[in-house]
Amino acid sequence: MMNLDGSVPADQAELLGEDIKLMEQFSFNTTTDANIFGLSSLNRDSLIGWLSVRLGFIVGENYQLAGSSVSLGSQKPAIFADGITNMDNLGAVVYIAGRDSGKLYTLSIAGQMVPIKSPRVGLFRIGEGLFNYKKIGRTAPSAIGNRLLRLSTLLHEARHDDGNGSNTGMLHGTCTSGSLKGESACDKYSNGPYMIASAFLKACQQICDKQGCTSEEREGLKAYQADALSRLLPNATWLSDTRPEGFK
Amino acid sequence: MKRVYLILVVLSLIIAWRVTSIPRESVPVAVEDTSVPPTTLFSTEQNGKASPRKGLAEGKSESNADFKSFLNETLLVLPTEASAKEKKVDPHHGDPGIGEASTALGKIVDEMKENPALIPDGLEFYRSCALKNSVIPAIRALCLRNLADWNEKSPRKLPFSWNDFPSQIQFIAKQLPVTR
Repeated sequence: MMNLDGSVPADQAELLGEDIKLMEQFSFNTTTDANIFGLSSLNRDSLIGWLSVRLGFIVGENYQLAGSSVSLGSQKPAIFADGITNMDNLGAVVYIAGRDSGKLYTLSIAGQMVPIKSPRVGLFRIGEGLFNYKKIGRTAPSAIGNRLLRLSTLLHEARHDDGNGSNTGMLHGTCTSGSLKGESACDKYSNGPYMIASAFLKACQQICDKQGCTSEEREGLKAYQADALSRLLPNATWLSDTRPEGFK
Repeated sequence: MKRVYLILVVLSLIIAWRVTSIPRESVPVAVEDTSVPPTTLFSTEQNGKASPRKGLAEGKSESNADFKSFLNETLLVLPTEASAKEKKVDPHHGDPGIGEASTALGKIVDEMKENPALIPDGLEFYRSCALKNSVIPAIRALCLRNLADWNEKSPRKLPFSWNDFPSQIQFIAKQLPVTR
């Protein structure tokens, strides 16, 4: 499903590989919020199918764009976060920068020359925040709750592969209240990346029934779901046409 | 002199009686924490394991008093809007305070499951948490969800109305999975 670049540290690569294996073991089924994904139900097969067309390459925090002739210019796409990186959709950022300057960028990733023809190239960048900062309480990065949490982040980022025209990347909107006021860290689409994460985290309670999560993990997953829901902007709209765009 | 001594003894007895007979409903819960310095429930991880703060989240609560004390302390260290602004982390993917709070919130659930007599205290905690303006909306909403669900299981139900809570908190809480 994914090609890992050499810039991904070995410990992060191992954890992420195990996360995907966990997904392959899911045995749940729900129709709740499946429409947010554009699916009729959420289960192992539908989620893997949905992710596999959106996830192509993963690079590490130290992956260098320099030397690849890519210029992101003065534009700072909303999905490009400050601070310690958890995960971001680098492919969407590079695609949009290229599209807007009329260039097709090509990157060297995992030993391949990859033309960034569309956000659907599925190029994600991960950082230590994904493993150390965003996690549940006292549990280890390999604990089931943290694995599910990372998968929710992966699905969130995968949503940034979607959309076209002015909706390319289904970028975040600017938060209008609370501690995130002014940050590009909220959903302007009611089927956007945070709502994708929320729908998955809700299903995680079913997954937890099989996997034997602790109360700490269950409460943590619910709290992160609530965090995702708290980022839905009051004027958010449903994006009907989520088809991706790309160079022909 | 004897009369003064007698008055002092009587006053002491009255004070002692007042302190020990505070009705359950008026047991103080933590107030707004604007003066409380930002803190976390758990210290930084060392060797893959976090160290709980002294007296918290270790072992079982021995009594209602221990549980109540744990709840009051937890209420004071829940992640706040102010502490979220101070953190230099990616705002894109959730406040790390959420993860830290999940340990205490999980312990509260475990304690109430093990000893249903503790549920009424847990409900008071959830209500205070859901109404506390300084706490981040995600945690307030989770508390409201838990308040609604645990109230159904409580041997002593609290009067509950969704409308007692801000609409944004209600909106989030109603979309969270029902606690089983």
